[in-house]
Amino acid sequence: MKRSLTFVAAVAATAMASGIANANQEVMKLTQNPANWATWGGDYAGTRYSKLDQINNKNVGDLQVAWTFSTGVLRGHEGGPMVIGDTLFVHTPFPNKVFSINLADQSINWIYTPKQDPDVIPVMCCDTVNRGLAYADGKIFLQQADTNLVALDAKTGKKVWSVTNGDPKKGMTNTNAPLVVKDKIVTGISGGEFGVRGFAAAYNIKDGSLAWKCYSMGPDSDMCVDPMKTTAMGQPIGKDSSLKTWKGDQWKIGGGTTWGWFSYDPDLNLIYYGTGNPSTWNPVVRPGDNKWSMTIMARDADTGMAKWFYQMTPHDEWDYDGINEMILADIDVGGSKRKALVHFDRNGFGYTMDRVTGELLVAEKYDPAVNWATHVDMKTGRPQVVAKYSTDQNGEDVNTQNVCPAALGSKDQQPAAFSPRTGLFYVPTNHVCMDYEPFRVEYVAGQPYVGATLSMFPAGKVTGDGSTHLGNFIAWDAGTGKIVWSNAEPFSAWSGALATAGDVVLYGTLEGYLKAVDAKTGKELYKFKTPSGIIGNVNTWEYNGKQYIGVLSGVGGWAGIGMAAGLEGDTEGLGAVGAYRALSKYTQLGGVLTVFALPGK
Amino acid sequence: MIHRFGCALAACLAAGSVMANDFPTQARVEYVLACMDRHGGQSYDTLYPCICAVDKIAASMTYEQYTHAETMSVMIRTPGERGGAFRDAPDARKEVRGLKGIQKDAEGSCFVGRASGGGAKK
Repeated sequence: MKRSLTFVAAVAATAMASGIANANQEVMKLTQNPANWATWGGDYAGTRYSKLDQINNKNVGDLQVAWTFSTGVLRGHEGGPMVIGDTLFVHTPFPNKVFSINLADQSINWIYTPKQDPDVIPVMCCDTVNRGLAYADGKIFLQQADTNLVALDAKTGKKVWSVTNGDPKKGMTNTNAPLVVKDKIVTGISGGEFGVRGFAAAYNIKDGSLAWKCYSMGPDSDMCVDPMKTTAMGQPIGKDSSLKTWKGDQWKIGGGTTWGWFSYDPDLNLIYYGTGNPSTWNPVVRPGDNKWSMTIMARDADTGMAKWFYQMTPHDEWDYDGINEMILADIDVGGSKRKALVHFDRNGFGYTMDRVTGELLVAEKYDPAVNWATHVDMKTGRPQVVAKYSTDQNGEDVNTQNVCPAALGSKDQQPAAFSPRTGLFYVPTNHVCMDYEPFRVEYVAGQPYVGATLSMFPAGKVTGDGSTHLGNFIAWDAGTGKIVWSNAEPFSAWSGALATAGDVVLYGTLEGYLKAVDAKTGKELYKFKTPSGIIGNVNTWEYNGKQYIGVLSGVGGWAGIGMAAGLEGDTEGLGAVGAYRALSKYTQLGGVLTVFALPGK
Repeated sequence: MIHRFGCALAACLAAGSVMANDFPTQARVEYVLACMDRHGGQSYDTLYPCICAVDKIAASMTYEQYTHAETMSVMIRTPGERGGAFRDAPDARKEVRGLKGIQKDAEGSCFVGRASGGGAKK
């Protein structure tokens, strides 16, 4: 195994600079150096912005593939590579392998292959994805599908500790990337389609012991709230704020899972994330606002105590999970600089909040097709639901037609990017509508608890503009709530975006294209077809003075028509070791990390 | 309407001779390698028929049409909610069947898989 000299040096330097092993400061330092990509969002604010500008809007058209690495694992590849010093870490879908790759020669330092019970696969609602890793304190953190949160020695790949975060037999699984905050690692839980009650949990990075665990719903004591101090729309939430909004003890199987992304503001010491849909998808059987499902949450990083909540979709009737990323940016809103949180919800509204107080500043549709609500009432914060698109008012066994967006939302979990140079947010979106028919289901632990039949179609069928495209890639002004430019995409845009100081924005498409567009105009400057569809995030780093851009492709599904070849030979297309020759026949279906750079030395 | 077949498939095939023939080198090489792999591995017996087939396909449709249909064929097999939007999309299956038909015709008339030598290799 090769020693990662730069890696060791970088870590030693930060440890010395911080004086103590304060992982927060260490990660902060690492993220401030744009040569690294040390956390899912590039930084704690989740901006997915890089200060690197070697690749810019003048030369991005010259990009070439520098190297590739095949994971040898099928299924959808979400998230993206993490780079610290001279080492790249990349993860896979189930069984959640982790590779440590030496950037000097792309050789593999180590591979971690967890043994996970395949029984977990059927309880994962939406493909066996994983959204990536976290780093701190010489450890790589992996949130496995079977809910085990694992800390690996970053230098050797050896397991340091492991803690069980949930019970797959009750439908609990994990797909999210955890986030290191100070001396803790924060994670969530998946399983809203199985009646799981969502929570966020923080474990001590030293030994994996539980620091705090806060549920999305239930008694006040379970939710880490202070009825008088925790606010929503500027008012204290009051006693039993969740219990009052559920029938009986439905909150126990109420969903509100937390499978999205976590952001952190070190000045406010608050972490931010969203909660998912209430269970079941049939709204008729769960009257009330179903708090605090579908909610943006701001919590104290040390204790989990909630500072403020904002429920975007009270009493969800369409499965508009509220888990998409929270981007923390200081932007101009109505003429003054605000410490904002910007969130593109599945429900089709782009929200701009004051992240200090939870004040709602802007809530506008980021896809004009959105029709389930006319607008958000800025006084109450409530969406004004259109009766004919209300699956609850139409009732059980009635097919509510032409609701926009579809349950997948106007945007899925793939994170948007923010460029402080343009002040714009770059958002991959869905342009899909649906028919939705709720039906009654009984809850059985570990069994799907869905209760709705859906069919989906291009939004053009509803808007009547004759379009058939299924997605858009847009630039958004979060201060005014307006689309600045919009590029139609034939398929839903399901790749995390990247913005850079070179004024280029990059994202992937389901056809497999990595696309680079001009940050100001949206003009396409470059595209390259990777081996499979892209649902991963585009990340960037610098090594030996050269800027690289990397993205995972691999969409799941099964290619009926042969595309990229199962290349012969031990090394081609299979990473430097070629350990997966037996899989070569199917390699074209598996995940590939494609890394781009400008030509020349 | 840019991204779907702008013509019925038969008409597309008929119009193919005047079509763009715009498959990039990358796409042709990838197709040939995959085609050889499917039909017994790398040999001249698989190489020439597979080149013939991809050239015929490229003459029958634009690369954009090919890419769209090929992506659709993957997406409708994607498990869970994610694939739903594509399984439900109007004409998605027709589009995939259309591409498969073109591919089958092309490979058939190019003797793909007919030569005896190639199959034994792998």
